Amino acid sequence: MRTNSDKEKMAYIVAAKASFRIDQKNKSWEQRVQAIARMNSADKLAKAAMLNSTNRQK
Amino acid sequence: MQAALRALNQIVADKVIDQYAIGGAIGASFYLDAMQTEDIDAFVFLHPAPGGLLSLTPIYDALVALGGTIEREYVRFAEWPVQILPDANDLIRESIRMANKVEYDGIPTRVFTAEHLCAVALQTGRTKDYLRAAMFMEQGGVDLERLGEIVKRHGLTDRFSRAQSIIKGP
Repeated sequence: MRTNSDKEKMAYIVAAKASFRIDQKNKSWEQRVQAIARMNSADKLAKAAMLNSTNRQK
Repeated sequence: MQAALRALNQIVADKVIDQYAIGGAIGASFYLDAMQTEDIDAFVFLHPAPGGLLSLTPIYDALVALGGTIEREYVRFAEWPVQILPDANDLIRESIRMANKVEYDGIPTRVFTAEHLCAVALQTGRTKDYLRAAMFMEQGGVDLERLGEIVKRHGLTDRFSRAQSIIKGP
């Protein structure tokens, strides 16, 4: 999204955050647990990538 | 998650435990936005072993027989490690007893009430627990009058005030 001023940028950020919060509130328990599982998978991938990078530097 | 809940329900049916309820971050996510956790906290009523000793071994054995695998202090079902936590004090016993009957993907289970999740977080008392309690209060997820009664009953009034101060700010 193109924004021209700080005011417009701030309005965009506030709207995006509000939309995320509403989206979270409307989610079912199952959807929230699936979101946690996805976060965990992403964490594992990130940790593995960091470990590989560290090992390559050694 | 489904496999873990089916196994927990089965060990209740098999009378390995009297009852269980889900607490911790997975329990909290029933009421609040998703928050990161790596495990499912299952609080259980334990049967005392002969001689009065409490042991988690029969529970772990039963869960392994139902397809779980032991990993450190957890029993893993698919992507979810389950931590079995005994009914260590009056607040936990009350939390298990008064848990809400709910369903996860059609599987019946029990989750601590929002007020009990909040009180247990205050009792545990780590920084992340205070933040969770504050989130419950900030997002209007708890009945403050009911929570007030619980914290008073279990001697957590000071901690409750501390969590409220997090919301109000300095």
